[in-house]
Amino acid sequence: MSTAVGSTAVGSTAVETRPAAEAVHKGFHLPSIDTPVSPVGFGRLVRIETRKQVDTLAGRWFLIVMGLVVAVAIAVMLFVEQGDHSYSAYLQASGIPLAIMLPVLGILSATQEWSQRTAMTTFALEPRRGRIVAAKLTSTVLLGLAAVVVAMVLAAGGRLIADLRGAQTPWDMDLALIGGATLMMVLFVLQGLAFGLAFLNTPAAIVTYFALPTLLPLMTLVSWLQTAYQWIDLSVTTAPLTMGDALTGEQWAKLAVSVALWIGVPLVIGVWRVLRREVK
Amino acid sequence: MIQVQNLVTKYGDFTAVDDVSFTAEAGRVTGFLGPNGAGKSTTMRVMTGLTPATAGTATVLGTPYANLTNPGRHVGVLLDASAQHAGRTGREILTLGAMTLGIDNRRVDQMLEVVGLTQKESKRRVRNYSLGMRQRLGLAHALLGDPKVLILDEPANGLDPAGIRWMRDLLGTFADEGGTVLLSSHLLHEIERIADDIVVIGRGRIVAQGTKEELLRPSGSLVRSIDDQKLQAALVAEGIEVTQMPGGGLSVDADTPRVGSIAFSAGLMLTELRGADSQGLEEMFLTLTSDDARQEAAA
Repeated sequence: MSTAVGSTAVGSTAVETRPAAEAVHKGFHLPSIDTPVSPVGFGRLVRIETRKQVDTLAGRWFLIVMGLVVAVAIAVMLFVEQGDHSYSAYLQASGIPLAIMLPVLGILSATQEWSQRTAMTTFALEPRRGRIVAAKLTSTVLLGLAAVVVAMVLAAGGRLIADLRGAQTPWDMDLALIGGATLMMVLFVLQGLAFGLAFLNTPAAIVTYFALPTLLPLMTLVSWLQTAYQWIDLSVTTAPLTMGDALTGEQWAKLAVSVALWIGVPLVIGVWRVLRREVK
Repeated sequence: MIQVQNLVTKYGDFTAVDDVSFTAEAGRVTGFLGPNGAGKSTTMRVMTGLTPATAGTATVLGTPYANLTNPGRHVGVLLDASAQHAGRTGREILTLGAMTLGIDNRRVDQMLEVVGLTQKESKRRVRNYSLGMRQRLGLAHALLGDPKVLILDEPANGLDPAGIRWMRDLLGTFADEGGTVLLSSHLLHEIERIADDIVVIGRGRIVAQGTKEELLRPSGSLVRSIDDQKLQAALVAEGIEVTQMPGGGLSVDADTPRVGSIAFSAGLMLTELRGADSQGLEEMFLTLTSDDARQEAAA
């Protein structure tokens, strides 16, 4: 044994004052709080996690750019055929950029805690990490829904302009389409979050997230994988959601399988990792 | 109060924290001193539930940290001032903290004032903060919930001498009001200026602990002999306190003539005997920080 514990105990002697400190800080007191200690409520955590997604320069610009891209998509629609399309067409146009960008919001919500190392603060203030993950899930879904609402409003704005220019096509507000598109956005943003949690690393999560839909179709080149492909590619299984028709039983089953694979599995891995990972 | 008992943290074969036990008392500033990589930060992360312990326990205010209700209201934690989102403003970071703690937002302004950050500075993004400013912000964050305990990892890092003095006064006031402060540092002179009690850690083990006066007092002697173990036994038999120095040799709580005569009676040849000066702690510390010194001692 190369070292030995010192022989004296900490604090065994009388408390001595610090004359220097007192001389400098005569009459200085740290302000105290009267508010009684209350547990950290889940609603509070959701509010905080939502705020954290929009209170950074990057987060704010991301939302602004997303809004602008949707606006551009609608502007393009206005130029094509004098903008004479149904409301559903406008909504579909605004949904395309949204479907690409929203998942990144989910990824960042999960990975930024680790890349910016704010997890140290987050988990020091709420050691029950599962609640933080649940709050992130909730806030990400809420933000996704808010983005869908904005897209719907922008699409309505585009269609109104088209009306002013004398559009002939009926509005055709398709509730099945609106519901389906909303569900698809929520699934995509959840997939982003699940990937973010599983990787806990921004570049890895983003690259994998965007590489998958490119790589999965390669399965169709192998004859005996073609059926499986129909069941596991999320971009294939979610496609019927934006067709405006109710899904058949088989379509729902395919959706469920692909969701379990690409949202369920990474989410389970991610939660397990976050609960166990050392925060440093 | 913070109590750490027989704490062990292992990473595979590597033992980062090896059977560490100490207590940080209320009303005192306890300095946690050790070279980089000695296990200070790991110990502090275990205390705050961020790193799982392999064995042993750490309690804050008598409870494992993770069991505290709204821990930020009891314990102020600053483990790394740079671990903040660079794109957030200082004020926003404090606002998020106040929201989590469920306290009035006025507290944000109060704490900014306490740590000496201006309103203008608080609206800048942390990316543009100096390390000293980040430390002040981190301290403001730790103090937000009006805690009874402060756990601060290298809080004086990046502060200028005036800043260190300011921190000493602030932590002194906090302790005088009954609070517990545990702060770490790898600089002896920093700890000397701020702490009342000192716990020295090296290579994961506690090598010395006591009040600053005890550890720094110029008494006792340092001795080396051809057989330190026999000498230690002889000294202990005389009822003298003996501490093995990490680099070999003994720190003895007796003056040099007494040590010499005991060694003589025991028939042990001394290779070195001198009165310990107040540099004793620094010497031990230097030995800890330098692997070369360890090799020299072994040769």
